[in-house]
Amino acid sequence: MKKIFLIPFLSAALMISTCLKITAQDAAAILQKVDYILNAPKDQKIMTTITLYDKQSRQSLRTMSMVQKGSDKRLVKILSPADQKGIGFLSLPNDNTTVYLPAYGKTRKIAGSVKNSKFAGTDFTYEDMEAKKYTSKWVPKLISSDNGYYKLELNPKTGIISDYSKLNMYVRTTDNYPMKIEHFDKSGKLCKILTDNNVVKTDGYQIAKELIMEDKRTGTKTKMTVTSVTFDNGLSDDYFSERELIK
Amino acid sequence: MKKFSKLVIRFRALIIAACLLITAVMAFFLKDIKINPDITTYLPESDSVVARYNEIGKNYSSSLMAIIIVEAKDGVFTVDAIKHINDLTNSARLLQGVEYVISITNVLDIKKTEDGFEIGRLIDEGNLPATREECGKIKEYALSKSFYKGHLVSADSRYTVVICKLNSDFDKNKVSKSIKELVASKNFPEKFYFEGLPFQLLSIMDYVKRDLLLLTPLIILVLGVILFLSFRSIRGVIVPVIGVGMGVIWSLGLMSVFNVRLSPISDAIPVVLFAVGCAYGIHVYNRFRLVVRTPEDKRKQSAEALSRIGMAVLLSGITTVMGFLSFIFGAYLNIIFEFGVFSALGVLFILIISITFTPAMLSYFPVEKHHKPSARLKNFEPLERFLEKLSDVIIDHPKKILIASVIFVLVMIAGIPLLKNKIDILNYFRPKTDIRITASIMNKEFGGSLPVMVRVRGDIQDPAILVKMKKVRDFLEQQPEIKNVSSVGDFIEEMNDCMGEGKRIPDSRNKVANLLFLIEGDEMMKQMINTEKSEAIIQAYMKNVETKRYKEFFASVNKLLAELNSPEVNFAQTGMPGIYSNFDDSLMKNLLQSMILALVLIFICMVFLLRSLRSAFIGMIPLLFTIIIIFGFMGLTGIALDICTILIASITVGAGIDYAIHFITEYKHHIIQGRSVEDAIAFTVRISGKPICINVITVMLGFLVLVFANLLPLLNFGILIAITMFFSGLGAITVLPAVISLFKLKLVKESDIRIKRIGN
Repeated sequence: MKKIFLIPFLSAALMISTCLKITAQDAAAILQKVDYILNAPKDQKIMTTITLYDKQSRQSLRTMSMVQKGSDKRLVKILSPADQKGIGFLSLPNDNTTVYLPAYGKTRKIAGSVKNSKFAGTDFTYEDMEAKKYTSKWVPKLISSDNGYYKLELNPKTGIISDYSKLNMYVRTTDNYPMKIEHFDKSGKLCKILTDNNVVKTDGYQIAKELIMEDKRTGTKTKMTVTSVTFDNGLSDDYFSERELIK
Repeated sequence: MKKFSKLVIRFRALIIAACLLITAVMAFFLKDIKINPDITTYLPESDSVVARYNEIGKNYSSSLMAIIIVEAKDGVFTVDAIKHINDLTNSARLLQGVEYVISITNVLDIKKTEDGFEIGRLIDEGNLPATREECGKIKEYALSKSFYKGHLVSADSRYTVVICKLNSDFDKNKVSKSIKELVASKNFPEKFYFEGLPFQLLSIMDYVKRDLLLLTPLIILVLGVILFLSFRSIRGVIVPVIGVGMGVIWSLGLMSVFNVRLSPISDAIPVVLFAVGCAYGIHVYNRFRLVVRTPEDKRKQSAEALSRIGMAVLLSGITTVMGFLSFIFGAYLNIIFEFGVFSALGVLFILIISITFTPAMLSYFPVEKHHKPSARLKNFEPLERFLEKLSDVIIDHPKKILIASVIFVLVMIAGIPLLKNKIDILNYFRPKTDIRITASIMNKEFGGSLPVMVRVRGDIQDPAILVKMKKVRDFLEQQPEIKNVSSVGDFIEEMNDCMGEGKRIPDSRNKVANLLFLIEGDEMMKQMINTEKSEAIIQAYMKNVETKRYKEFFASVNKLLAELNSPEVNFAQTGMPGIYSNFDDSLMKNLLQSMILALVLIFICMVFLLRSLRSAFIGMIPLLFTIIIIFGFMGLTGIALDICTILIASITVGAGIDYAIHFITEYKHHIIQGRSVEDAIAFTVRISGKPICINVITVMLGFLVLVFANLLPLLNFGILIAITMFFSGLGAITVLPAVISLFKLKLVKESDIRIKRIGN
C-alpha cells in the first residue's frame, strides 16, 4: 500500500526539481544572452545627449562622446556645455581612472572612485556606468515569463559589493534585450528604474537609442539619447591612452 | 441694561439651547485642532531677513536637516564606534522619508596624491578599520582637516554628527520619530542627542501637548477649590466653570475652523481664559445669590440681578478684549498675533455667555439657601472683617494711603531702566529639555548652534566673485563667536591645490567650471550651490551671546556686504543673529505701541460706558500705578522682556481695569441712592471688595498654574500677571477709594442723585 503512494510522490518531486533546474538554467542562459547582446560589439563609438531633470522638471543639457572596447576600457569626453567642453575620463582595468581638465591642461588620476556617487551630476552612479557583465556580479532567478518579457531577479554574488540589494530585469523574449531594470536599495525598497527605449539594430547590433534613469528617492531623472553610434571600428588598446584623452 | 436683562430671562430656554448647540458644534471642530511646532513659521514673512532665511531653508533644505549627535566616551575613532556609526548611517538611509545621510563613514573626501587626487570617502564603508592603528590614522587625518574638525567631528573627537536630510514630500514629524526609534532600537553604548529643526519640532509638539493636558485640568481644579471655599456651594463652582469652559471650546473650536494651529504660546489660551474669564461668571452668580432670595417672582428677581451686574460685567469684558486686541497690531511673531486674536475672541465669548447663558441657567435653579453665619462663623470671616477695617482706614486716612502708594511707585520706577530683552528663542526652554541640552553641546563642541548664512547671487564660477566670497568667509572667521564657516570655495581651493596650483581660488572661470564638474551632484554640494551655479551660500554657526552682540555682528556683516555688492554680484545676510536683531528692535516698539493703544482704547471705553471723563480718568489711576510697579519689578528682579512678558502691559490694562470698573460702578450706585461719599465708599469696599478679592485670588492662582509650563516665558508671564492682578485689585480697593475720599468725588451728576442723603 505504501509503495503505491510513494511512486506518485517521488514522481512529483522529480518533476518539480527538474522544473527548478530547468528554470535555473533558463535564468542563467537568459542573463548570459543579455551580456552577449550588450557586449557583442568589439568596440563602439557613441555620441550622446544627456538631459538632466531636477525635481521640478527643470532641464539641463550635456553632450558627450563615449568610446568603449570590450567591457573594461572606456573613454568619455564632454562636448557641451562650453564650460565643460573637453573634460574627459579614461577608465582602464583595475579601477584605473584618469580625468583630464582642459582648463588646467593636466590629467590627474582619480583613485578609489566612489562607486555609489553620481557620475557628472546624472542619476547614473559610477557603478551604473561600469561596463562589467551581469553574469560576473549577479545570480539570476527567473520569476516569470509572460507578456513578451522574462522577469529576472538578480541578487549579488557572494563577495560582491553593490549599492543595490537586488535588481529586477525585464528582458524582451524576442531578442533578449533588457528593456527595464528596477534597482532596489539595501532595505529592499525600489530606488531607481532604468528604462531602455527605441531599441534598434545598427550594423547588426542591438542598441537602445534612449535610456532613462529615474531616481525614485530624489524625484530626479536623467535621459541619455544616442545621437549616433558606430560599431567595430577596429580600435586598438593603445587608443585608450592619455594622449587620446587630452586630444 | 434692564430691557436686555428682561429679554434674556424671557427667552432663557432658547438661549440655553442655542449656546449648547454652538458648544456642540465647536467641540466637533475642536477635536481636529492641530499643533504647529515649526519655529520658522512663527516669524513674519514681511521681515526680509526672515523671508530670505525661509527661502534658503527651502531651496537648500537646511530646514530639513535632522542631526544625530553621537557621543562616544573613548572617542568616535574606535573600531566599535565607527562600526556603530556606519550601521546607523546605512540604516538611516533606508528609512522612508530620508533622502540622504552624511556621516564620517560616507562623507566625500578629496585627498591629494602623488600624481593626482583621490576622490573617495573619509572611511571606506566596505573596508572599515579593524585595528586601533588604522583608527588612529583616520583620526589624525580627519582632525588635520578643517572641513571635518569642528564640523563633523568635535576637536577632542568625542562627538560626531550624523546628518539626515529629509525628503520634503514626507511628514517631517513621522520621519523624525522613525529616526529616533531607529537609534533606540540599535541599543548602542554611545549616547545620542537630536538636533536640527525636524527634531526640535518633535520636542515642541511634545511640550505643547503636555502643557495642554496638564495645565488645563490643573487650572480647573485650582479654580474649583477656590470657588468652593469662597461660595461654599457646588453651584458656585459649576456656574462660572461651565461658562468659561464653553467659551474656551468656542475659541479653540474657531481656531480649528480657520485652520489656526496651536503653538507653545497659544496652548496657554485655556489657562488665560479660565483665569481671566471666570470673573464674569463669579460676579453674575454672586449678584444672583444676593438678589434672588424668594421663589416667588424668581424671574423678575433674576432680571433685576442681571441688570444690576450686567453693565459692570460688560464693561469689564470689553476692556479685557481691548487689552488682548491691542498687541496684535505690530506683533512681531505670528503666534503672538494668533494668541491675541483668539484670546480676545475667547473673552468675548465668555462675556456673552456670562450675560446670557449663565443668568438664563441660574434663573431655572431653585433659590439658594443662604447659610446664616453663626456667631462663631461670623468671627471667622477674616476677609469681611478686613474689608470693614480697610474701609475705615481709607475714609479716615486717605492722604497716608496715597503717600505710601506714591513712595512705593517711585521706588519701583528705579527698576525700569534696568529692564532687559531676552530674545534667544532656545533659552525659552527649560535647561533640562532636549532642545537646550543639544544646543549646549553644539555650542561647546561644534562652535555654535545659531545658523548664519550669506546668500551670494551672481556667476559663482567667476573667480572674482569667489574671491569676494573668500573675503566674507575670512571676515566671519575672525569673529570670536563664529565657527565652522564653509562654502563651495573651500572645495574649489582644495581641488585647485590637487591640480598643483596651490590652495587658492583658480585664476580662470574655466578652471572653476572644470573643478565643479567633478563634484557635481554630491549631496554636500547641494547645500552650498544651486544647479545653475547662479547662487551659493556661505554658512557659519554662531554661539548664543548677548542681544547687543547679535546686533553688532549683524550690522558689521551688512557693512562688509554693502562694500562687496556690485552689478555682478549681490550678497545678502540672514540667519538667527539677523532675525534676533530685528526681533529685538520690534520688541520695545511692540511693547510701547500695544501699551499706549491699550490705554487709549480702554480710556475711550471707560468714558463711553461710564459717561464721564473724570470717572474714566480716576479709574485709570490704580492701573497706571500697577504698570509702573510691574515693569519696575521686572527690572529689579532681572525678569526680561520676551515674547510672553511683552504682553504684560496690555493684559494688565485690559484685565486689571475690571476691579476699578466694578468699584466705580458700585460706588456710583450708592451715591445715586443718596449716600454720602464716606458711606458709599464703606458700602462699596465691603460689597464689591469681597468679589474683587476672591477674583484677585482666583486669577492669581489661575495664572500661577503657568509655573508648570514648559516654556520659561510662560512661567514668567504667569508670575507677573499674578503680581499685576494683585496690585490692580489692591489699588482698586485702596488707592482708588483713597483718591475719591480725599477729593470727595461723587462721580455722578447732582441731577442723577434721586434720593436725598440718608441719615444726614
